[in-house]
This record gives sequence, C-alpha cells and structure tokens, in this order.
Amino acid sequence: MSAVANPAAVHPLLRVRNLRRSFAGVHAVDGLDIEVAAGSVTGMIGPNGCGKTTSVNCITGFDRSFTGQVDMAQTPLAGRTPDAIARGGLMRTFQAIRVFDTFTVLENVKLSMQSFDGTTVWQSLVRTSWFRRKEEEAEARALELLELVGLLPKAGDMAGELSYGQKKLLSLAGILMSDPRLVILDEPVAGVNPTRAMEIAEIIKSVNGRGTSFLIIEHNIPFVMRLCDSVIVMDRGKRLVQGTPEQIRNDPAVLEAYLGGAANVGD
Amino acid sequence: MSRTNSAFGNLSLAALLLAAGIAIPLLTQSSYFLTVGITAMIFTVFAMSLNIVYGYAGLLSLAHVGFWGVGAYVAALVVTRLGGSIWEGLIAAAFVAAAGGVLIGAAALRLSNHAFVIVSLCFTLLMQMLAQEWIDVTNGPMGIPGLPAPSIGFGDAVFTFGTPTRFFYLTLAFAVVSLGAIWLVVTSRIGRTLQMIKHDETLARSLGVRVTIWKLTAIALSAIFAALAGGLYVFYVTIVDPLIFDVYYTQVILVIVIIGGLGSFWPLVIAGLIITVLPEILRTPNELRMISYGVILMLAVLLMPTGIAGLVGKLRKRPAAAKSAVELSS
Repeated sequence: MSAVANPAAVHPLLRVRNLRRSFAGVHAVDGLDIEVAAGSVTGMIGPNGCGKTTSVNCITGFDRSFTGQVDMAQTPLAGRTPDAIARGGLMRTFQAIRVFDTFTVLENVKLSMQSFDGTTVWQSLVRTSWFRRKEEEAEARALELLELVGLLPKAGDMAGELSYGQKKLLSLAGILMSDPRLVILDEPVAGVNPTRAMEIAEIIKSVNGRGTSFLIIEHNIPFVMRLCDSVIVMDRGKRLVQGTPEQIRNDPAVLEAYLGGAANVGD
Repeated sequence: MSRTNSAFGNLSLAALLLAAGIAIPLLTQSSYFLTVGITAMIFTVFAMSLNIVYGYAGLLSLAHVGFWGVGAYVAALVVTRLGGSIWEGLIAAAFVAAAGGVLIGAAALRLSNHAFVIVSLCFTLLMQMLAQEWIDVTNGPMGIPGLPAPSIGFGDAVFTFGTPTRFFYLTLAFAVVSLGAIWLVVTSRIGRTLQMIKHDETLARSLGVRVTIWKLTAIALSAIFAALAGGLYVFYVTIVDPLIFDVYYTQVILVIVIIGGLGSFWPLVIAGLIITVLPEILRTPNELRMISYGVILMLAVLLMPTGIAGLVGKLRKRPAAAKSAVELSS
C-alpha cells in the first residue's frame, strides 16, 4: 500500500476502519480503511468487483453483515438501519437508478422530505396549518432543486416518462431535499452523455459549496479527477491509496496495480 | 385537476353516494333490497381495508378474512359471554384484530413480503381451526346463534336497530365513518408513504422511511376495519360460525380491489357496490348466475387490467393529450 498523505481532517466526517464483508468465502471487502473530510468531494475508483458498491451498502446500512467500524461525525453507524442512517444525514443514490415512476417529478422530490420535516402523523391526518406550511415550504424547496438540476419544465411529468439521464438528475434532487451532511453517489454519470455529466459535476460543485460533502463512486476517471478533492483507489476489497488527484496520478502503486503502469491516470 | 377541483369532486361524489344511501330505504321497504344494500356497504368497507395493505402498501394479505372472522367472534363473545354491548364488542374486536395483525406482521416481515402472504394465510386457517375446535368458547361448528340487534340507550329509552331499515342506516353511518377515516389516511402522508414502500421499498428506506413500522401500521389499520366490518356483519345475520372464515369472502374482496384498481379510493367504492350487487342482479336466470358473474369478471379484467381506476385515468388523459396536440399544431 502506498504511503500517500491523507488529506482528510483530524476528525473526518466519515471514517471507515477495517471494514470486512464476505460472500460464501469470497472477501468482497477485505479490511477497508477510508476517510471523507467534512466539506470535501471525495471520489472512489477501482476496477469492477473491487468492492466499491458493497462498501457503500455496508456504510449506508443496506448490508449489515459486516465487521469493522463505520463512524459519521464520530457517531458509530454499524448496526443502524438504512432509514436511521439517512435521517442522520447520510443520503445515497443507487447504481441502478431508482425513482418513484408513478409519481410526478415534483412529487418525487417532495416525497424525499417526508421523513425530515418533523411533521407528526396527526398533523398530516388533520392537515393542520403547521402541516400546510411545511408542505408549501417543501414544494418551494423542491421547485428550487428542480431548477438547479434543470428539471423544472418537467415538474408535472410522471417520473417514469423521464430519460435515464433525467432520472439521475431527479434522484440527485431528491436526496438533496433534506440538506444532508454527506451524500454518496453510486456511479452518478454512468450511462449519461458527456454534456449531462458536466451538468451533474456543476450541480455537485454548487451543492458542495453550500456545505454538503460528497463521496462519489465512479468509473469515469477524468470526471473524478476533475471534480474531487480527494480520491480513494480500491483494489480487491482494500484501499490501495487515498490522496489528492495529483498524488493519485503520480502514484506508482496505482499505475502498476490499477492501469498496469501503461498510462497516466485521468488523462 | 387543481386541488380545489379535486376537493369539490370528492365532496360531490361523497354527497351523491350519501344521498343515494339515505334515499334507498325511503324508496323501498323490501328487506331483500335492504339486505343487498347492507351487504354491499359492509363488503365495500371490508374490501377497502384490504386495499390499505394490498393496494397502498403492496402487501398481499390473506389474513383479512381472518381479521374479519376474529372481529366477528370477538364482538359476538363480548355480547353473549361477557354481557357487553355491541359497541364494546366492536372496540374489543378492533383491538384484538390489530394486535393479531401486528403479531403476524412482526413475525413475517422480518423475512419478506412473500413470507407475509404465507403467514397471513396460516393465520386465517389457524383462526378457522380455533373457531371449530375451541368448542367451550366458540361453540364449535354450531357457532353462536341468536345475536341480538344492536341498540343505543338514552336513559331509559332504548333505540334498537332491529329492522332492516334501521340496520341499513346504521350500516350507512358505519360505512361513511369508516370510509371517511380511510380516505383521510390514504390521502395523507401515510398513504403516500405506503405508496413509496409499495413502489420501491429500498428507495423508501434510503429516504429515511421506517418501512417496517409503516407496514405494521398498515396491517393494523386494515385489520381494524376488517374486524369492524365482520363484527357488524354477524350482528345483521344474527349468527357467527366457522364459515365466517370461508375463502369466498377473500375472493369477493380481492375481486373488488382488483376490479376497482389497487391503491384507488372512489373506483374501489364503486367496484365494491357493483360487485356485491351484481350476483343478485344475475339471479335471473339463477342457473346461469355464477357463469354470467365469472364471464363479467373475466371481461372486466381483460378490458380494464388496471381496474376502474386505470380506465378513468386513461379517459382523463385523452382530452389532455388532444388539447396538447391542438396547441402544438396551432
């Protein structure tokens, strides 16, 4: 493992220590150590099957059959359910895009706020003035986010009618509704055209500028290298190295193990 | 449709159905017609209870006839064995059914939605067996006959719902309150949360939804209304026996929910009223009744695969699409 300096702060927002997850004897994640600094955009790259998505599933509580330590803001996440982790401010998207197809685009974004605005069941049932105000606030915020991701003209369309790239934008808008502290994006630009990828990068930068941290799992290395402050390279279930894009580009271990030493990373 | 229009539409439809309900006993005193009306209203509430858990939350429950039967037995036992009123019996029925629902939900939902289907079926079979075999309490296959008519006391004066007309109005009040309460629930955030879970449980979890708690809430709520419907039903037919758990009741409410449209409200109410009245209309000639009923159901499923709700949705979209086409061409 390379000894590249870690840019994460002393108390990183997300700290993963010795994460291990096996499937029938196959070590999908094999002692992973990573850190995501507060306020950063951190990328995670690595070949197919190296354990990136499995790690994300463990971090976000969707897979709880792991060993190791996962802390967000020094609070342990291990054993917590995915919904509890989400309500704690860690939101994620999925590699296979997921939206509520039979709801409109606007409803999709508003639905993302339901577990976060402190409205009680009773307030919702009798439609109190507090509830109606919260609904109006949620709608205003949802429209703002749809404008940010360029889907405002589609607000009234059914989500199922959107293109693949538009669904990616919609899912991004949805998880931003609750103003999360950390967002994990699983392959946000996979299968989308370069223009859309640039749009997504701009949105991430803009939201990051307002204080939300990102961990981005991606195969599109130029995208990661241009966008991220820190990059984690995974190989065979482990962190090969974590460093700045510049450090990653010049790290011989990365060139050797990840690209066979034939090219510069991110070119 | 704007929110104001939608609220006006809902109120108009509710008022129309209520007015029709009030008018029926004024137009006929025939106990046959009133019985058909009473059955239609009770089965509509019963089917709507299944709709909460199946149509909204996406959990196919075969326990509903179990909740309905448990509600019927508990209400009957509270009245006949404990000397309580039917109202106390119905409250007890609601609590017992809700507890049963949470119990089987908590056990089965740890595994999967498929496990819930199996466990829910087992619950109904177990309850049926209990009704048959626990003779000291349930009177076994003989059942508990002679259930008294419901009554309300005002001081010394007692008003008994002992005639078909009176029972019709009692059932109408029950249907209005139950359907009104269910409408409030399914059009609130609870309904939307259940729909989120039905459409994509994983996505719902990732957005902070407590999926298991909401599923259990849906099961408990639906069990309550199924039990209330079952309790009221047996006080009309004046007997409860193990046949209350018959698969026929599951078939009727499933047909209503599917023909109405999963997760719909008004289309399901309309389907409930039609499906329960239809076999009576088809009695002439009686020999062909079930064949005609079957053919109509098959045609309904073929022509309206997403139920009445889907058909209404399509018809609504057509004028909108035509309007857009005109705007584009101009």
